[in-house]
Amino acid sequence: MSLAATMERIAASAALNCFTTVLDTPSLGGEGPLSGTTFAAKDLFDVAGHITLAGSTINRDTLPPAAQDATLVARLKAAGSALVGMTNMDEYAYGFATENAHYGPTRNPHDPSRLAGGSSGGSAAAVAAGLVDIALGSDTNGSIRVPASLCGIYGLKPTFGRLSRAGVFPFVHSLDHAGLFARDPAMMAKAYDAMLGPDPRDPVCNPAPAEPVSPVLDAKLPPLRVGVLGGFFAQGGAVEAHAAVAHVAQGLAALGCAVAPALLDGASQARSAAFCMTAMEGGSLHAANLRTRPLDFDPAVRDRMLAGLLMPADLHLAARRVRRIFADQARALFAEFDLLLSPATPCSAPQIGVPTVEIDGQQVPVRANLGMYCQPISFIGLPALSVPALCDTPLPIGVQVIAPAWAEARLLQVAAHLHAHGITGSRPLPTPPRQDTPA
Amino acid sequence: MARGGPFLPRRLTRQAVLFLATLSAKICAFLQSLLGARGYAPWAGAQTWAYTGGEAVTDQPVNHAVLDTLLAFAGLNPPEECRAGILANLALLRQHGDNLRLLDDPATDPAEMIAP
Repeated sequence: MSLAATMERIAASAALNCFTTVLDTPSLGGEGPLSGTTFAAKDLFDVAGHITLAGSTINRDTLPPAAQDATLVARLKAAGSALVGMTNMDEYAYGFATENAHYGPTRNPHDPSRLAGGSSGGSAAAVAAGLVDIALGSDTNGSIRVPASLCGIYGLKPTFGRLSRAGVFPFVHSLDHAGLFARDPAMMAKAYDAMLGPDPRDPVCNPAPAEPVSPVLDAKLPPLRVGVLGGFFAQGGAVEAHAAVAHVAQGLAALGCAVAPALLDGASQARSAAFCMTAMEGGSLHAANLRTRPLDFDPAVRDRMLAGLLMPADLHLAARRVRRIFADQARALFAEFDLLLSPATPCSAPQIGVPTVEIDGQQVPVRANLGMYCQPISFIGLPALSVPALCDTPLPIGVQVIAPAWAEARLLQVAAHLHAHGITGSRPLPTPPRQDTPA
Repeated sequence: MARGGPFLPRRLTRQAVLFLATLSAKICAFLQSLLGARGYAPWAGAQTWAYTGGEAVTDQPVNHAVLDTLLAFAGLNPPEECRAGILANLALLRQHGDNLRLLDDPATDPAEMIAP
């Protein structure tokens, strides 16, 4: 699609509210492996000359325009992709809904009355709606995998430290990851490869040389040992979430993998530790503004951060210890398995404006629980990919494929084979996309 | 020169410190008894947050009085409309805090790398 056609399509899809800024003059993609493609960046990636909103009005009112592009934005541009705009998100990336009090909710292209998920909801919806080929997101507790699941696309959260976070507005330093969305694994691999490599601007970015995944994407799939996570990951989800896992597990078995049940002890406690650490570190980051201008925050974000500020330091120390214990347990499990599967979200996209969702017969808060299966995994920095299951569910839903640290190539190779065999993939959108929902 | 300081003999210094410590403790005990008699005992709630070791020490809810103390200690003064949300989130964090402690071992080294 030409850049002009892309911009027309973005304008026609304004009711989805994917973008906080659509660039008047999109950066023209040059020559490179991504020539002819377009991308969007979650509005917490710096784009030179623009204020990095991070879903807030406080940033809008107080920050100067960014002096330079975030590293990943710069690398995608250098690879030939054209940046068309910045996307909507939960304020300061704290949420799984993209129901932003200042900039409105982002709507799911498969059903605009439903959530796109969050916090990178604008990025996921833009890719799902075909407005861009690639979108950048961030994932602290599931903010890439959750919207990828609800919008029916691929969403990759690489290993902690794999992709540079330089120029990315922080949320929880010890948990923040940068990643990306695409509609197919081949495009995702090309964009991922273009962004790889050390970055002295990010102190946690891996200094090892880049390990491109595209060359191995189409290689014959080895007979991987695949564990289907039970215990915590088999509880508390709706029927469609577990049906999607079973569908992908059967597909991998048909592709020659050895599929067996697996247990990752301590996942519930790891999720709790991530939950507490997020509130405490997020609150600490924004403490000054929480003291002086609390009413300028999105209320749902503000109250969670204020509560986090009141927690004792002992709780944070305990959470850090739990991270080590849980990481050791995951490492031991990967001696038996090459990949693990779990639901990406406990349900498909809930309705916008409904604060709770019924899971396992109980009403639970949407904002806190959509990422329940993702949180334990990002907590220990493992790479994970949400793949859109093509199974008999009314709405899209993803499956979380988890690999050992630094094994992104394995994730994308598996995704490429699942995609090629029609086990996973993007579903067609309702045509034309419904625009009748009030903004 | 005496160890107690340039102007005071050591014995006198020790007596002064002892006197001040005793006085402080008595003032604190008096204030606690005074506030406690009026049903205002924020320290009990704070104790809950600080010393839950795997199981909740007490089921005392985080009420408005406890919240006042916690906010004051943290230097926060959010408007009234924030309080219900904060209380709800404190309750949620408390549940998660109790849950994570089921796996915690205080002797574990978090082993987080710090670059030299």
